[in-house]
Amino acid sequence: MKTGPRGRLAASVGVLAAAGMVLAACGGGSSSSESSSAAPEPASSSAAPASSEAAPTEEACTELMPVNLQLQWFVQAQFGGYYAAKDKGFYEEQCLDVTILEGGVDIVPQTQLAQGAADYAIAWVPKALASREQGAGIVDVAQVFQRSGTLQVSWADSGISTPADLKGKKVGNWGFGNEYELFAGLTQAGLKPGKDVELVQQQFDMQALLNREIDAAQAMTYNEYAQVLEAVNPDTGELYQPEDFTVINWNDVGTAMYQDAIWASEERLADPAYQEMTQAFVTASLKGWIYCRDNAQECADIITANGSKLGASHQLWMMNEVNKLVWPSPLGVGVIDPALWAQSVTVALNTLNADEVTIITADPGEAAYTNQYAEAANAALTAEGLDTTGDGFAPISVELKEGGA
Amino acid sequence: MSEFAVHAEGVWKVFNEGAANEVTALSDVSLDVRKGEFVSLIGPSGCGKSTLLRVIADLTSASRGTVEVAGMTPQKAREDHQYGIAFQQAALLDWRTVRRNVELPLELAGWDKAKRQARALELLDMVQLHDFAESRPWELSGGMQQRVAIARSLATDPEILLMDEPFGALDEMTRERMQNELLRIAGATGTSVIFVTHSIPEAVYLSNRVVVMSPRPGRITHVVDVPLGDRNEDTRESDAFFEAVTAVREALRGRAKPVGEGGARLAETS
Amino acid sequence: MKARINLIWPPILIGALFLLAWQALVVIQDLKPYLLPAPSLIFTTFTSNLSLMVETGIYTATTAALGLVFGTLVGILLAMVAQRFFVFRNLMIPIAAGIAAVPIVALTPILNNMFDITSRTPRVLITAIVVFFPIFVNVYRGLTAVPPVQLELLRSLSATPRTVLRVLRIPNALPFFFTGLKVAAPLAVIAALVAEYFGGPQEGLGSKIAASAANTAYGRAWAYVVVAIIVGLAFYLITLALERVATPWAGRTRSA
Repeated sequence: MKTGPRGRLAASVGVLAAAGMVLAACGGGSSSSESSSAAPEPASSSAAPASSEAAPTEEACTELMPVNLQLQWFVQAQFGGYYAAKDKGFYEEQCLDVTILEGGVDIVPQTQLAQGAADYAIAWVPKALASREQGAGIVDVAQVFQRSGTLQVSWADSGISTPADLKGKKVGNWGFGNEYELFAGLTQAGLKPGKDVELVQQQFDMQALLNREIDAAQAMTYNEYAQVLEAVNPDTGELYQPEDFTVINWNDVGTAMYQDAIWASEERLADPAYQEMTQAFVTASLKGWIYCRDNAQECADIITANGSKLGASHQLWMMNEVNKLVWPSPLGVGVIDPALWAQSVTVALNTLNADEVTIITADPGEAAYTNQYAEAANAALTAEGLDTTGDGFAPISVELKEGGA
Repeated sequence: MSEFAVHAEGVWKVFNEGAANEVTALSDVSLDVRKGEFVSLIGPSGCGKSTLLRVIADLTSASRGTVEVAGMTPQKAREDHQYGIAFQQAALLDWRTVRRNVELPLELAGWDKAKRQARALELLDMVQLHDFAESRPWELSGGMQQRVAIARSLATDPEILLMDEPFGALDEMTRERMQNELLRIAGATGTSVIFVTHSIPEAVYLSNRVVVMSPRPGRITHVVDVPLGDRNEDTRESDAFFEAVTAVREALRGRAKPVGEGGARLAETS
Repeated sequence: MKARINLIWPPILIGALFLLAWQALVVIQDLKPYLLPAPSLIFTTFTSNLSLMVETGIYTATTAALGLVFGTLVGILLAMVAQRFFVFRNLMIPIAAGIAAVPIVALTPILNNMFDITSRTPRVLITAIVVFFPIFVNVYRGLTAVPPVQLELLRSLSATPRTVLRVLRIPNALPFFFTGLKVAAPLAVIAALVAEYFGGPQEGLGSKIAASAANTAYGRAWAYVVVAIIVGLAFYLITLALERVATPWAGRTRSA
């Protein structure tokens, strides 16, 4: 039973392999550096010139261009606009055949995009900028969510109403790159996330908060926050009410960052054919978002029809809350406000994560985003008679049922 | 009847009685062993010699018949450490030193530490392995391990030594040396020995009497007296030795006159 | 001494060549860090964050050690019960096999909800469950796979079952136990690490690897993986050392 160094090598290879498996599970992407050949061929003669013109509407479209869209999570109303665009034929109108790829815990959408597994990806800006700094060539071509939906939720009796109150508390967050606004808020309040608060990674439910195992939980306005409001208060026998909780909203604190945006491949944007495809895609997607603003219930139903397992009231809540994040879009739907972009970048540059490292180390610069496609889309949609700023948008009132049914 | 080391009368051992694979390992076996006597059991496979040894040792029970060991039931004899046993494998425990292996029976008999140690060294002296007391079993040759096993079997100074082909795995020269050792020790301590073997010369050299057994069903067929007196280095080459060997061989081949039904009484000698 | 050097240098050489090849690949192909970080990047990340790496490693190692001890004790205890009681054995073995089949991925979220997610408890339990099976199986084998001649010897010496256990079965089982422990120890590290992936305090290797990967900081992630390897190796080597001390007779030719 002598094991010597050979046994040790075997053991180290074994642990390496196992760790590698964990890592691969986290990373999600393949390590091949070839991009997939989804280079679009324009169907017939390309009547429309390359970039900033209105998207072709009357062009004879004999062959749809296949497009892969990588979502950031599973199918749900958070991505309502894209499913609506597909369902209502807006993509087809633009001569696109869009396949929507669901995301998941281990899928990093911007990596999928950079490696060529997808043509476009939905990703939050800070995470995408971090990838970009690591060499992923991606560009923000439409900022769909104009404001952040992240909350830090506490019980009303916990006395937590500002980030500074989180000192010494058990603070839940999801990890996986979703925690930066929280960390930014803590940093702004003079706290070190790794040291001054007890960080606990939540599962993707609100049990830890409801069981009072943690003092503050991360939640999206459109999803997890609804989960606590769909839970029954054992003391009253009724559903919990908003008054039972306090929330910290990062938009108010000033450390909010841009979230869901459409990202495109930087390298391929040099190719006129891809530019055309991007324009078509952006225009149709934004049209889908306009549709969901005006037809929230129908969009919620479209999502359910596409396989979402969320309950009906929860789905509608989500659609409504997401609409609140998208609308109003003062500069036009999908258009990036340079000031807000700068805020996102500043927070990303100055926020220490749990390892006391910032999200990015250098300003990504002008090349990281473009308003070219969004503005052109706005023009085209306005020409169709659609309201692209949603100035008069009023959210509906949604009643949640237990469990989101 | 306690002048006998072992008294067995009408012993039957049937395995799987009543079933299709019923085997009669011992049928109506009777045997008396006097104190200080050296008796060998010899016979082909399946003749019951090992089974008989195990019945005496209370490692298995007789289906029918009476067995007395040192005047008591086999179970009591076993519980009172009235016999020592040695098998073909030395069965030393690898994680104990040689000395602590020899101490094993004494531990189980409740002796205190100092007494155990002294006795173990004494025994190792007897088998001429004193220098190896602190060695580990794997450091010893096969013959040396068997000597340790024999020393162990004598630990509680039992009246009776039961041995099941203990030298079977050894080469011829070592075997002869071990036989001399055994005779010397048994003679010095006055221990009665029941010795199971396959080897005719070994049985003859060691024993006062050789009990010949035969299988299907297992039974005693002959008892051969071996009047060779004190053994010395010339014994193996003597005519008397050769005659005794021949007698046993003939008995094994079934050519000698068999003993009557009811086994070998002390009164009957061939 | 020369013999020992001859045993050591081949794996070191292979390891060094492998790292060189990796570095060359990254440099020549100009692979971006988000795809595959270079060993040099991993090394610099590792050394410039040394105290953080150590702290994180210790956190996970502690969880692994707690789970290892707990799972081992339960494994040994149940193996002894299974050896002694026929009825229990027929019950235990299928159950143990069933437990071994449940993946960490499925069990961890359940335990996280059953127990306080902010404590180490769910992760220690998962580790203990993973460790239990190899220990149980090997100790059980060791307790029962005693040469029959030795059992006969002990019976001839009028030993009670308790005595047989103490004098014979347990020492016999020690080499088997270490065989199980050599499997269980690195497994405990892996289990503790993977369990961290699913929620709870974020101070451990699993959490940090997942967080780094999600931030596309793969150089960092790999640095933590290196720590994980070191921890796993340490567990294994400690087990080896324990084995050598506790069972010097193991691996020698058995006595006749």
